[in-house]
Amino acid sequence: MSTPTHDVTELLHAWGDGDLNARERVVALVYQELRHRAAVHLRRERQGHTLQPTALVHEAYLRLVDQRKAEWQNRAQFLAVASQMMRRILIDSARARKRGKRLGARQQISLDHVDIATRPFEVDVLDLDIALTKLEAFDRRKSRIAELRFFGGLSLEETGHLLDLSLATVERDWQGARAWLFRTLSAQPRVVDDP
Amino acid sequence: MTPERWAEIDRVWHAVLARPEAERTAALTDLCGADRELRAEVEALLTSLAHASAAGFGAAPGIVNQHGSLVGRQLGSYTVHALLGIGGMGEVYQAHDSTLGREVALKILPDLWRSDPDRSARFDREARVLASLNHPNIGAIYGVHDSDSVKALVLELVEGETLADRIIRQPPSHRGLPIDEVTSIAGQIIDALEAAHERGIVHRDLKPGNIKITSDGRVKVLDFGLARAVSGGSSPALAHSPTITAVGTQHGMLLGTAAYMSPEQARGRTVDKRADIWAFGCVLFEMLTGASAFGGEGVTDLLANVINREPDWSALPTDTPAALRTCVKRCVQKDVHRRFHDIADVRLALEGAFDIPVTERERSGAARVVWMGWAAVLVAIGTAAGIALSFVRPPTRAAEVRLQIVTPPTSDPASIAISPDGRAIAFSGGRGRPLWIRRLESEEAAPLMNTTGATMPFWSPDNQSIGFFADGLLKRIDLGAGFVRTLASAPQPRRGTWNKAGTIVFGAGSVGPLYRVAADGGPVQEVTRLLPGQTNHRFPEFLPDGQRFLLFSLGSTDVRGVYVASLSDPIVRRISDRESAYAFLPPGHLLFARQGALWARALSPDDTSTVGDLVPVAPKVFVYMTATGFGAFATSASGSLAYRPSPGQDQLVWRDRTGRTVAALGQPDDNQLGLVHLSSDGRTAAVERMVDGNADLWLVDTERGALRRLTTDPAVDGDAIFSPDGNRVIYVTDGKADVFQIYERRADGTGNPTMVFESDENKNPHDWSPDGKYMLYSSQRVETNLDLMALPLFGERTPLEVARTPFRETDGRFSPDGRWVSYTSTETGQSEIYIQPFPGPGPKSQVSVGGGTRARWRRDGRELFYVTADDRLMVVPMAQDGSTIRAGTPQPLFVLSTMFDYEVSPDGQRFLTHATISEASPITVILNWKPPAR
Repeated sequence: MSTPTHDVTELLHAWGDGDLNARERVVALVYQELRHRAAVHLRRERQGHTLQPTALVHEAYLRLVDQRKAEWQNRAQFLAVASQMMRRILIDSARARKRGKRLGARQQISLDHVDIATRPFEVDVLDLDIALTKLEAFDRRKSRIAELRFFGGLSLEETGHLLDLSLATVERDWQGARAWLFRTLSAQPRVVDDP
Repeated sequence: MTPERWAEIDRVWHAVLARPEAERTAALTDLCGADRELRAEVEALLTSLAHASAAGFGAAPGIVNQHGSLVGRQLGSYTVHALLGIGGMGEVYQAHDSTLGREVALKILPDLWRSDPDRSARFDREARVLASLNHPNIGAIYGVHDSDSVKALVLELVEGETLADRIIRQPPSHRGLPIDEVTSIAGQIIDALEAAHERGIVHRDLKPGNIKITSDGRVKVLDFGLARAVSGGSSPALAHSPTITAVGTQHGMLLGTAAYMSPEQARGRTVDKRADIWAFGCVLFEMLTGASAFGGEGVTDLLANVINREPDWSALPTDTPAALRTCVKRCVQKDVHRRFHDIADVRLALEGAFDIPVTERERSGAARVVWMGWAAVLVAIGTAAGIALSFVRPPTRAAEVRLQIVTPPTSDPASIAISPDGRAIAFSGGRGRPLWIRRLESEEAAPLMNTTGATMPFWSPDNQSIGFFADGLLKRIDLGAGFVRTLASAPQPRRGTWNKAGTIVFGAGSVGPLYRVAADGGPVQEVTRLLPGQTNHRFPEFLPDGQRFLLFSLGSTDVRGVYVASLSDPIVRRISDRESAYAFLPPGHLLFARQGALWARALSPDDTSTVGDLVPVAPKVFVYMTATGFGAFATSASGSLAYRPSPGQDQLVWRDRTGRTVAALGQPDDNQLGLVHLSSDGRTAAVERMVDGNADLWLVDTERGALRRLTTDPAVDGDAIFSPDGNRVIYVTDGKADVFQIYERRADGTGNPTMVFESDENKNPHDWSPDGKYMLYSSQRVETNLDLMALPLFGERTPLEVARTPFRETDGRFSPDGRWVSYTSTETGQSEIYIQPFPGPGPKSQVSVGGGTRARWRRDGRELFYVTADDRLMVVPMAQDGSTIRAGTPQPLFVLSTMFDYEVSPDGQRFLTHATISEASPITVILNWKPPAR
């Protein structure tokens, strides 16, 4: 019997060999998996939800891809698709909430370093999406790097492998994306700035 | 903004950024010239980058989500000053405790805890135990703060750097700490572990990140036992793998902890203090070498290395003293039996007491465990069906391995089957749900199409098909094609067994012999013959020769027990006179449940008797209360077995007319709590519970929840009803010839039971008339199915027929004035509620519409309640006018599972029923069970 694990691993190999239909099927499988997982998380954790997009993406990778057969290129391919899908799911979910009863009670997602002591900087996932889309209009590569970082949890090294860029270029672009995004997002009145 | 303009801004910005801080203004002037807009953009980006860094924006990959900062807030007597960090579990803040005038650390627990009272209570209990640990080398747990918005652990605030930081601080040229420092730190960690182990507390998550060193060189071990407290201990699989189960499954943290996880932890097995000794060894290794003992790309890889690889011993500095070498090697021993058992031994080793080189033999011993393959139980938090991810490669040499499989919720937790090759488990989802297959090499269980309601599955010898029962039929499904075929009728299934020649032997009813049918279909024939006194043969299981099979026989005590029969000879021979739930475990053990535990006993070489000692297999196993011999365990030709310890917990609750739970009675109960009857004053309920394998009746105080045992005999007691004054109870016992007979005893438990009525067929009492003169019961006759009867409790006690047809009439209840009887009948093809006059004669009228069961009266007779086939509780207004009674239109109240019984309070405003508090425990799989060496 064919299991999703085998499917996805084989599809990634096929995609790597240039089969674009395979990519479409990976996208569909990954989207389905992530949306399902995200829905479970959101339903379970009714209040103060602690959805961790990158953890979901990583879980999906462990679940869908046969680790014994996968190569690092497959991982990068997978994470690239998954981060796009994760972004879409989060946006859909935030929009659905926004349309819902509690007007204005948007889902806050804070972007924060895990180790340093700092007041969390909170940002609306929809605002992040809008900012990324704006950035994409004039600097597609930086927008893509930021997407992979925020929604896929890719390290800069992995991002470099995936986009076929040197680490120095990725680092440089990431700095730019980060500065521009923070500036754009800080300009939003919704930023929480009170202790 | 155009891409070109942006490219220019970006180029200038980077050029400026590349300069030292002091030269940037000059660079800006130089590069921007007269373009003031460009300059403004670049300056804005420079400021923004500084702010982004300060805020940590994007510093770590991914989005970390949490509620708003608590800094500045007052939580009870704690004033929160600062965020110290964010760990896997949640944020940690520094706060001032105004009551005791000290600084503390507050570890905020996820909101999830607060919405789950059980988990919260368990956590509080664990925290109390941990708070009792008081030692200078242990970071103290002061207690738990629980306000309406936040739940937090209150911890000793320990200033200083972590051991992880200390190790990193070491220059690359001198990796590893100085030996003196290693010895000092190690000694203090040992002190801390010793103090905790003496109190029975295991750290479970010891790692350099949990060890702090204060400025005066004192070591403080933090987070003792928290891993377990956090996982809550509800599922053993979860409790054993600390970090993986903690709510924050941030990838980095997962890796951080997995590197110190012992092989047995990685396999999801029971963890004891030796797991801490392993972790200590890893920490010692890291202090000596500056590198982790185990690494890997990702958790899976890392756990595989923990199980399969040895640390790189050559990394130990050449000047490492022999005592330290011996110590670290004896701690990082994959085989727990070869590892130091006690932290005190570690101390002695450190002091040089075991200062002898590790021998060749020991090295090969360490290598020997590698063949076990690796079976890491990785638990993904929040997976839909709650399925633990396990990765198992079957052992190349048979070693006993235990692992757990978390299953989706099920109402049929006893239906388990393990494939003959031992590599797949089939289990039932229960009513309205499919059969599931969990292959050990895959990460999830998969439902099988077209198997809804399947119960008592059993495998074909080639592992390719599964036999099961559903809709009163014996069926088979071929796993490859997913094709389902019906083989025979089996109204009351009692499992089947399938031999290599393609013959299936199965039990089809609660009376009668066993039957055989070809696995490809064909005529059904009786295959055993009941001996005099026997009432039923059930639960057949082929022996390895595929000719003979074991079975359990019900009947009088002299003919009851486990028998062996053969396809060629219908005469059965007894091999054990007492066990009921049993299984044959190749090559030669009989496995059985006794007093709630799972045991094994060897079979004699000719399979005619059990011999030798009773050997414990598992301390707890679930045995289904109402089908004798149905135990939640199964065996495989490979010598492996699977069992489920507990069916989950229920609790009695009162619900109001909207379905809201208004009160919960007593404690959650994992003894298959079954509600039976409510006394007429509504104050006492009779319930069934199965305690240590013995089904008895208990009485519950419906306000306070106190439980009192009413029966204690070893037989199955059930179906209790109260007399109108509540002083006496009528119930059934299967003590005599395995037929349920009706007894009576005082509700206060005094005096002896007396027999009320004896007959050849099974009976279930339903209600006692308000005048105390009659008892309604259903009688299980083969020719007329279930019939509703009334037994006069005076005179000759000759039963009267109330409703007797070829259909099933049952669950009779008297109206409160005693003039009417409500009951369920299947004469229209589905269950409906009817009312007729009592004692009659008189016509019956149908009350329910579109199906109904379990009619219950309000005490004043003005309302009747019932449950529809789709689980809705309905209310019907009843109007009595002289000798007629009229039922109004049924109205729905709320959803009430038909799996649970219910009773109505005298005023009709509340309903006593069950709630599922926790689902059935995971299935434990024992691969290659070995009797303990004697």
